Amino acid sequence: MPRLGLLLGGVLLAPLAGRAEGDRFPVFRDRREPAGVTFKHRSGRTGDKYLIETMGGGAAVIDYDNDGRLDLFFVNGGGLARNADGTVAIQRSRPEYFNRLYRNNGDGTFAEVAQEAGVTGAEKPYYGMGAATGDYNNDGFTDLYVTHYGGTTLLRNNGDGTFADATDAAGANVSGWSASAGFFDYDRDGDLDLFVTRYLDWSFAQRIACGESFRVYCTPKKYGAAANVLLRNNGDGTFADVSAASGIGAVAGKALGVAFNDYDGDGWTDICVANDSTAQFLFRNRGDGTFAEQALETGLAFNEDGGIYSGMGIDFADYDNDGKPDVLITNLAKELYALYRNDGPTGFTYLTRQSRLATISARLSGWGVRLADFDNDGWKDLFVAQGHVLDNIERIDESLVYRQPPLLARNIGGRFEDVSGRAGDAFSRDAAGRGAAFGDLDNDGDIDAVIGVLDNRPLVLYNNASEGKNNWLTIELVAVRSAPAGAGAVVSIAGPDGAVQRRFASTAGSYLSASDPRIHFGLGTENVVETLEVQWPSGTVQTLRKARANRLLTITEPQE
Amino acid sequence: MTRDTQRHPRRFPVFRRFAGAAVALCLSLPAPPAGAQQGGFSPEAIARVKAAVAAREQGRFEEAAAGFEAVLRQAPQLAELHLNLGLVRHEQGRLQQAVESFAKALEIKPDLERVRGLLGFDLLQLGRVREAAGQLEKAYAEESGNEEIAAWLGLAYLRAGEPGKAIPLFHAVLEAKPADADLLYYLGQAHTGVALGFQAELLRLAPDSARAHLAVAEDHRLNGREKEALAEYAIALERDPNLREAREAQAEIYRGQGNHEAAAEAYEAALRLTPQSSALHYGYGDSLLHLGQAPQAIPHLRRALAGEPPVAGAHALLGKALLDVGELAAAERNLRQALALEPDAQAQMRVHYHLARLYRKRADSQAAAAHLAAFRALQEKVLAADRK
Repeated sequence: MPRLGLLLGGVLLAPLAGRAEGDRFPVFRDRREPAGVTFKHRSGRTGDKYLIETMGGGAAVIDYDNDGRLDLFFVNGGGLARNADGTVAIQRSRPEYFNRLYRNNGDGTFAEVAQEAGVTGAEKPYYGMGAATGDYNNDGFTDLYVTHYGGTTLLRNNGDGTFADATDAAGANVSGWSASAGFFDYDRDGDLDLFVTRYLDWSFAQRIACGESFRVYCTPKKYGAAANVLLRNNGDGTFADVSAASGIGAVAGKALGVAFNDYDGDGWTDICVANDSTAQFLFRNRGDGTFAEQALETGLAFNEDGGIYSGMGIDFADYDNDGKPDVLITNLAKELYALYRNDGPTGFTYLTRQSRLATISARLSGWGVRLADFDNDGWKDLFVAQGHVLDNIERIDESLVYRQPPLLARNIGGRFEDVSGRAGDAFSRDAAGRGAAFGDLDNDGDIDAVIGVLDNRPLVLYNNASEGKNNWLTIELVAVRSAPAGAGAVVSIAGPDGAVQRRFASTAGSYLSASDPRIHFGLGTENVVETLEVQWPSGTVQTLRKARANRLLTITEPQE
Repeated sequence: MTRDTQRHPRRFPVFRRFAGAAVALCLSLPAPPAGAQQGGFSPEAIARVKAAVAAREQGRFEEAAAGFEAVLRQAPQLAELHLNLGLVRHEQGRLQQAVESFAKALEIKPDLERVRGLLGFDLLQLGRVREAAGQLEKAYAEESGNEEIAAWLGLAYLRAGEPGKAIPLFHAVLEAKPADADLLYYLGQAHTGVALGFQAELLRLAPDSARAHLAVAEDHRLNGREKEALAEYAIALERDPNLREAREAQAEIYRGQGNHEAAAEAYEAALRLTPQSSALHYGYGDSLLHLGQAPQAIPHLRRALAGEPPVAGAHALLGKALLDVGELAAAERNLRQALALEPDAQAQMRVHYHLARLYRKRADSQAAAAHLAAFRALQEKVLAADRK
C-alpha cells in the first residue's frame, strides 16, 4: 500500500507551527444554558459510596438526523435506593434519571428530544455510564450504543428521528459493568464491529467499606478484574461475541477507556485500552481475526519506571506529526498523564516529562481527553476533562481538589504549554468532569468540546479558533466498500513544504464518549492543501491535490 | 473462686516490675508492733489481716479491702495497714483511694520503705505530675539504683514540662535496657521537648529573626503542614538569603510535592550556598529530569555520585537520564551498577524496566525480554506483598 510519506519522499517531520498565527490561542465560550441544554447528570450519590456513583458521565456528539449538524447525547446515572432486604435498586424511570438527546437547531440552540426519540433509558434498570456511535447496520443513520452497570443497550436509528432498542435482536448485550465502547472495523469487512470495555467485577452485594475515620470510594484494587468484549458484526444486523476467539477475552483488566488506530502501519486497526490500576493494554491486530496483547513488549503497559497508574481516558493519535499514532492516557493526580511516543519498530517511549506534561498534570486528575488541533495551527493540542475520583479528596490530601477546571494545553512542536488560563471562563470553573466528546458543533471550522459533569450540567464549549487567522479543512468520508464514515481510514495531508499531518477516522477515544466522525485539520496560514491522501480500509488509496482550505470537503470512496 | 476486680492495667513495662515489688511488700507485712494489744490490735485482728492478705493475693480485692479497713478502725495509726489497703486500691485501679492510703502510711511512718515510689506512680497516673515528681524524687533519693523509679521520675519530669531533667534519668535506665521501646520513645520526647524549649527561647529573644522563622518552619514541616512551612521558610530567607537549611528544605518539599519547577529553582539557590553537596546535586538532577531536562540533569547526577560512595538510586537516576538522551552505553553501565547495589525489590524492579527500555531502543529484543521477565517476577512479588 503506497504511503503518503513515500509519495513525498519521506519528509514527515517539518513542523507547521512556524507558519501558524502567533501566540494567540482560541477562547472557548460556554453556551449550554442559552442554548437550551438543561440536562443535569444524577449519580444517585449515597453515603454508602458505591463506586459506580463516581465513574459515570458519558457524552456523545452524533448527527442522528443527518442534517449535517452534531446533536448532543448525555448518559445519565440513576437513582440508588436500598430495598428492605438490603439489595439496591437502580431507578431510571423518573425523568431526572433519563438520558437526554438534544437536536442541534443550527442557530446555536438545541431542542430536547430524548423521549420522542426513545433514548431515555427509562425501560431498563441499568446504571448509565457512556456511549458509542456508529452506523452498525449500514443504513445511513448513526446508531447509539449505551454502556451501563447492569447491561448495555444498542439503539438502532430508525431514520425518522426515533431509535429502537435492538440489543437482544442484535445479540449486543454485554453484562456486568461496561464503561467506554467504540465501533470500528477490525476485520475490514466493511461493517462496524464493537469493542466494549468492562471495568470491574463489582456488585452492590460486595459491600466493601473503605476509609478509616470517614468513608471513601474504594480503590479498584479491592475488586476483581474483568475481560473486555469484542462483538463481530455479522453483516445482517446481528453481532457475534468473538472475545474468546479473537484473544481479546484472554486477558482481564480494569478497563475504562478505549481508542483505535493502526500503530504499526500494517493497515489493520489496533486497540489501545486504558486500565485503572493495572497494566494498560495494546491489542495488535494480527489481521486474521485475532489480536496479540503487546503493551508490555512495546513499552505501553506502565509508566517509564514500570509503575502502574489509574488509566481512565485515552487518545490514540499522532501528536508530534511524525506519521505514527502516539498514545495519551489520563489518570489521577500525582500519577502524571501518560504520553507515549510511537517510535515505530522499537515500540513506545514514555514522554510525559519531556513533553512538559509532568509539570502540567502533577496535581490534575483527567478523564475525557482529546489530542486535536484546537487552534488550527497544524499541531494537535491537548484537552482534558478533569476532577478527582474521590469527592472528599480534600480531607485526605490538602494539596488536591475534587472539582477541577478542564485543561487546555497547546502543542508547541511536541512540548505542551498550559494555556487554560487564557482560553475562556470555562477553564477556571471547577467541575467534576468525566466524559468529553469533541466535534465542530457549529460547523465553523474548529473543534468544540462537550464535557459530562458528575451531578451537574454539562459544559458545552464553543471554540472561536476559526475567527483567527489560521485555516482549516474538515473532511467527511463517505464509504462505499469500507465501514460507514470510513472508520479506520487514515487521512494524511501535506502542505507545500511537505509537512504532513495524519488522522485516523474514529468516533471512539476519550472516556465514556463518542466524538465527531469527521476529520479535522488545522492548516496554520496555508490556504491550500497540496496533497491529501485517504487510505481506505478497503485497501484503496485515494489522492487529491490542491484542496482549498476553510471548508467541509466530502470525499467518497471509489467503487474500485 | 472468682476475682471480684480486674487488676489495674499498666502500659509502661518498667512498671510491671515495679508492681512486682509492691506485691513483695505486701507479703512481708510486719508483725504488729509492741503495745498493739493495748491499742485494740487483737489476735483476731491479726488473723483478719492475714485473711485480707490472702484475699488480696487471690484477687478478691473488695474482701481484702474490707478486712484491712476493719482492722484499721481498731488500729488507725498502723502505717503498714494503710500501705496494704493502698496496695489493694492500687490493684483495683482506685488510684485516688490508693494515694490517700499511701499518703497516710507515710504521714504515720515517713521512713516506710518503697511507699513513696508507689505514691508517686499513682499520683502520676492521676495527672498530678508535680506532686508525683516530688514523691518520686524522694523515692529515688532513698533508692538511687532503682531503675523503675528512675523511669517514672523521668516521665513525671517530662509531663511536668521539665524534659531536661528527664533525659539523664532515661539515659541511666537505658544503659540497663538499651532496647526498651518505651524508654526510647520517651527519651526522644524529652530531647524534642528540650529542643522546643530552646526554640521557644529563640522565639522569645529574637522573634523575627531568620533563625526564628526557620525554627517555626521546621516545626510546621515536622507536623506535615508543608504550606505553612514553605511560607515560613520564605520569610526566613527574606531575613537571611544565605540560610542554607531553609533553601535545602524548600527544595526538598517542592520536590516531594512534585512541583519540580519550584524545586529546581530552590536547588539552584541552595547549590550556590553549598556547591559540594551530593544530596543537593542528586535532588537538583532529579527535578531537572522530571522537567524533561535530561542533558542538564546529567552533570548534577554525576556530581552526586562523585561525592559519595556508590549509591544505587543515583546510578539508577543517572542511567535513566542517559537513556533519555540516547547515551545507551553509559546508561547501561549505570543501570547495571544500580542493579548490583540495590537491595530493594521495588527499586530493582524499576531498574529492570529501564534496562528493558534500553534494550528495546537497541532493538535487542532478547535482552529486553529477559529484563521484562525479571521485572514481572519482581512486580508479582511486590504486588503479592502489597496484597498481604
